[in-house]
Amino acid sequence: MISVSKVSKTYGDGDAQTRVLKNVSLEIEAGEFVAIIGTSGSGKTTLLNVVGGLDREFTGDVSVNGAKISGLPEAKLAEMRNTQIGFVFQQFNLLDHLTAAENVALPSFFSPKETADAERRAVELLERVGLSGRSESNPTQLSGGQKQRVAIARSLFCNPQLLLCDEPTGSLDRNTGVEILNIFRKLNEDDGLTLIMVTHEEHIARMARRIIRFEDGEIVSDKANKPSDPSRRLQLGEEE
Amino acid sequence: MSFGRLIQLVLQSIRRNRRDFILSSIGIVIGIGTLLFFTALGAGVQTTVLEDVFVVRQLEVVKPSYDVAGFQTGGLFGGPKLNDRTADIFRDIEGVRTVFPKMKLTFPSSVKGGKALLGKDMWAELIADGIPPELVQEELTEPVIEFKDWESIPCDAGCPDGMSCGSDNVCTGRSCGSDADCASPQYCHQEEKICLMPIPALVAPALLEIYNGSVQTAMAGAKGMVGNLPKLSQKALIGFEGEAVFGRSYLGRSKSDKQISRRVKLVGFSDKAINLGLTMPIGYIKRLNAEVSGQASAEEYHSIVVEAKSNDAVAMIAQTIVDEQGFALSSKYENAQRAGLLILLLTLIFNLVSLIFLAIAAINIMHTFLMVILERRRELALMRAVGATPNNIRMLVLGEATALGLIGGTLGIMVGYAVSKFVDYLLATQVGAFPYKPETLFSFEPWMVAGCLGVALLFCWIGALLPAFRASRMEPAAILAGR
Repeated sequence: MISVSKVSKTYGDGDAQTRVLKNVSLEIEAGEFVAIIGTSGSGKTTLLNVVGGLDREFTGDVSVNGAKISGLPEAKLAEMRNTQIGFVFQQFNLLDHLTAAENVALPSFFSPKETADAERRAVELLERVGLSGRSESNPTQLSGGQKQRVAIARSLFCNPQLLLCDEPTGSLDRNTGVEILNIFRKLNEDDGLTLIMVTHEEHIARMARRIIRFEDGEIVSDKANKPSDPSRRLQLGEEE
Repeated sequence: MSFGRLIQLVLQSIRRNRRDFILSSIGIVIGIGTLLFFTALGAGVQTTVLEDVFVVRQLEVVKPSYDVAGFQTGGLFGGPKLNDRTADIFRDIEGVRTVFPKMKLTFPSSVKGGKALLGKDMWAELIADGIPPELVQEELTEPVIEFKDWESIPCDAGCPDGMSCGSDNVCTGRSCGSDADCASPQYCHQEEKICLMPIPALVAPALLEIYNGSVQTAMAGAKGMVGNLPKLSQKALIGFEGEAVFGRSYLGRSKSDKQISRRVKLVGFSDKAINLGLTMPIGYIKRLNAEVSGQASAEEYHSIVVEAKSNDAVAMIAQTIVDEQGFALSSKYENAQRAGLLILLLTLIFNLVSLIFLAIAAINIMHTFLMVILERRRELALMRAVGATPNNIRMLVLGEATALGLIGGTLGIMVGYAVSKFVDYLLATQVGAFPYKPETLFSFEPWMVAGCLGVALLFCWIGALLPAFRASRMEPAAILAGR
């Protein structure tokens, strides 16, 4: 599914140069739920952007579904982001002047093929993430958790095979975060969606079936994990 | 991205950035309004000057004159002649619609009349020329009497009511003792004692303009009857009659001492009429010249007016007539050229001012779009993340500029048109009569509207081009990560 080979990336010039990725290599199979954990500035978000084709300024090779990202023309890469990859961001990135349904249907504007009845599909996706009846609400009328649900529905609009989530619970309270994680788990277990989730929180990372630990632009550990049930941990009042 | 989806996105953006959109469009509205206003004003003034004042489409060809020791002369051997053969040559020049020879009376004449209008008959010197009747038949739709030579109708063509075939196979009126014996509008000629049709005459609209705009105003403060001259309209003057005496005037008599009297009736107004005087069917003038001044004076025309099919063809026709045929053009043509050039220059200067407005508007649009794009960078980066190509982003920004151009341009056209109507209203209500005062100062053509919209779009695109490229080159990863 995803192959990352000797990827390096540097920001800045001269003395101010910062190497955020240092010869990173990894393989992720289809259907995996991977958490990339690390401190702020460790390079995990940069790796996510490289894999998602949002950042093309790197060295090394990255392939998604057999297609080499660095060799793809801009239009093909955009098509890949539209049809094969879904993004979920910490800050939700919803457009306030659109309704929830319009936000969900945003990818349809750039879809290479016409999406029949985009509005109906957007409403269905909102129902699937637990937002029945909120399709006409504006983002300003929604709570943080609801906004992230809208963002997840948007990421699913074009039936992607890969979901890239950058600190998806970072702006949410713990209960809401758990709800969002449960949605991810269901998408992974029920629909077979490949999930890569970047986080700096241990208890969030423990939800994944594989945990890759990043430090200073390098992978320091890559281990399989038996996912815990966060809702249960929450009921027991456990803390990290 | 399909065109329909692009429009949807553009409309969403406009709704969202309504305030910025309105501010950006103000410059375009002012610029386009000004551009249309001055373009239509230039075209309108040019139309009035070149078609009403100078009638540039009609070239008056005259015999050339030569400077000999400071004197102007017609040439050692008289130069080329303006006769029927010359008219045929002019008719064959490319771009010529028609030619019409003009012949002037070659002896002094006078006319008496005006009692119906002024309360008292007045005598005036009569200057007259003649043109072929068929040249004005289309414009004289319902003349009080037909503009033709009534005294040379061949019997074969059928004689009109009140006329019968005469001895020389020409229709002639019956004998009479008074007007009552004649079928109206014929009158009884007191010397010849036969019924005659009045000579139909035309007057140039310019003459009426000069009378109303200058003479009547200047005479308003005069003593006596001339102090009460009324303002005249074309409608009031049609049907006006006068008694003409050909061969005698205040200034002199004809060399042959011969006099012919005829009643003259004004039947219409035409640009083809002589500027100062009366224009009659050329048959009358030829006959009068032959009878009063001799046959030779009835064989050569004084000028031939060559009418071009369009204003564009005028220069080429003028060159052919002057350079190849060796004739001259009346000074009116050169004056028209100068006036046309002056108007064109003024129009260009005003249009340049409009373009400066538009350039400022384009800079304003660039600034606004750059600011808007800065505000919307997260939105644009998100679009890139969900599948927009850099080209999609460029098209979105340029689409917004297109909407701005179309809406601003349309509003500008409406503003320019409305202001022109207001200026016309002021002209009609606040500005007094003057010669050639037009009903409107403006001439709007469809190409002006299309051109203004095109210019509006062009300047909006120029303004939005840099922001569009900047937007398409944004790094979505950096923006979405908040860097």
